[in-house]
Amino acid sequence: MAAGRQSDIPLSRDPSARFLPWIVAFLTYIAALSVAGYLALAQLSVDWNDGLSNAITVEITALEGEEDASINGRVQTTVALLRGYPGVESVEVLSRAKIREFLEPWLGKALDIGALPLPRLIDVRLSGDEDVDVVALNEKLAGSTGARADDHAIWRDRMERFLGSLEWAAIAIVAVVVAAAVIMVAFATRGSLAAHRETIELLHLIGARDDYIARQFQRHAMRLAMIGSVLGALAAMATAFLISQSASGLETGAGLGAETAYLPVVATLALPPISTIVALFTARRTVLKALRRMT
Amino acid sequence: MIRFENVGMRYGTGPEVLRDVTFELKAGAFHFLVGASGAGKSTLLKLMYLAHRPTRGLINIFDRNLASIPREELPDIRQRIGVVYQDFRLLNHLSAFDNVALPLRVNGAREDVVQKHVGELLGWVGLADHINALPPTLSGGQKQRVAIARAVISRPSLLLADEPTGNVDDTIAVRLLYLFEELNRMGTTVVIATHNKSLVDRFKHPVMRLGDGQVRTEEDEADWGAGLRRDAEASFGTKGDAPTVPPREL
Ligand SMILES: Nc1ncnc2c1ncn2[C@@H]1O[C@H](COP(=O)(O)OP(=O)(O)OP(=O)(O)O)[C@@H](O)[C@H]1O
Ligand SMILES: [Mg+2]
Repeated sequence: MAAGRQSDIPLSRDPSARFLPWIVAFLTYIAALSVAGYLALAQLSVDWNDGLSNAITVEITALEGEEDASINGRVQTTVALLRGYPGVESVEVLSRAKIREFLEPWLGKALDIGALPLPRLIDVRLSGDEDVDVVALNEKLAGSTGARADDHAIWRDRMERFLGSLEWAAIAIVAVVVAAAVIMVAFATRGSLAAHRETIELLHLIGARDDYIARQFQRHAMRLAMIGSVLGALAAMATAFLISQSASGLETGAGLGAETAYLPVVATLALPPISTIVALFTARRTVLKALRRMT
Repeated sequence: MIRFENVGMRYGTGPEVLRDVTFELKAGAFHFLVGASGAGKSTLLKLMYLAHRPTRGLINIFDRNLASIPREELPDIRQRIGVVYQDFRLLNHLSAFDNVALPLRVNGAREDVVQKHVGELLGWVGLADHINALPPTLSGGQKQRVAIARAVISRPSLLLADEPTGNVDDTIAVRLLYLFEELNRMGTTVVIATHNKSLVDRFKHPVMRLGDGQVRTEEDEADWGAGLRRDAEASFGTKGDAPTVPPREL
């Protein structure tokens, strides 16, 4: 009787007991998916960035009317120069076959690559021990063989900016969701306070402290928020699972692989306790504020 | 224990229900509070159990000036006052047991203590068979006894009962009065507002009479009839014969 005792205030029959869990579930779902989505993309970009930041692509374009032998000579000179360059680990001239492999998805199998004035590409892997100054390298190459080095800085820069704005979007969504949850809980609590005014008055007259009354409200709000946020989190995990299933069909889905999949899950699992605590403190604050106006 | 000095009270912008109420209750006293319906008995009790503040005048309770008591200290004072409300004010979703247990639980009593005391007291007021009943399923007299049990469960220093025998037969009324006297013997100050003349006659306790918004303390029981005539004139504006029937029990 003591443990499972009914609360002195019959809050579980209030309308809010029915709608609050659904609202919290919905809000949690949105927050969980945006955080999980952001984390997955951030992880993907880390993988991608690692691949790009240790590589430079050097390109040698054929001049008009230039003979194959002449280009080959420039390629050899460039390779030799690169091999001696500090910070360079390996240098590999990409064969025509390899270039064709890269281009095929875009240009199609039927294409005769031999007929195209393709540039020669040299893949340079950096050791990563020291910074390679791409501008200086470019000047040196231009002066000797006319090759151009590209460290993908523009791509990496864009990616970083894109992720930055995604991060802000995720933070903004979570902030809006928390604010909405606070407003809804405060609103529901105020409704309950009005509905049970007489009971609260009686409890006061019997000698109940504000804290005793507030505890009943916060326990109730906490329970509703917990039910709602667990529902929302489960739904979000199911959704994330479905998305990653369909993403794994794509080659780029590698970034959503098993080794990083736990991050969004952790983020999602953290949401129910957070919602519960937010609901608890919101209900408590709302009640204490209202009670202070009563005698 | 309680002292009122020139206390006035009005609801909102209405007329003064109480004006210039001055009296003193010593610790351990036992008083009946009588007066015509609408004279302000319930209002006076509300002031005593701190449900309302007076519009003017001074109230001392437990030797402290009410006006100077900060809000945080009100619960401590209220826990020392047991109240039987005229309309019971039971919580309909709680069993008789949980209603009676409320003052103990609010005070943070241990659950084994609660079980023991509440069970005993409900047995004493004849509700042993209705411990788990919800108030809406109880008769008027049964509800009243639950309300009384709730008022006395924590052995208050001050017991204020508003028409506590209005819904029970004379046998039970007398039994309940014995309960109040028992508490009074253990030190509780008791004030009972009532219309029940036979109870007032039977239990020889001093009478406070409310009329014209004022309190007269009448130790003299013989004055009852005269007081009643005055009340009737005050409430109905009639002159002449006093009603031959005592005021109805509510
Ligand atoms: N909440 C209220 N708001 C406005 N007026 C009220 C309120 N409560 C009581 N009154 C008025 O105050 C006066 C005194 O009422 P009160 O309930 O104190 O009388 P009473 O002596 O207890 O009557 P009864 O014997 O019928 O219980 C009445 O005229 C009543 O109309
Ligand atoms: Mg009354």
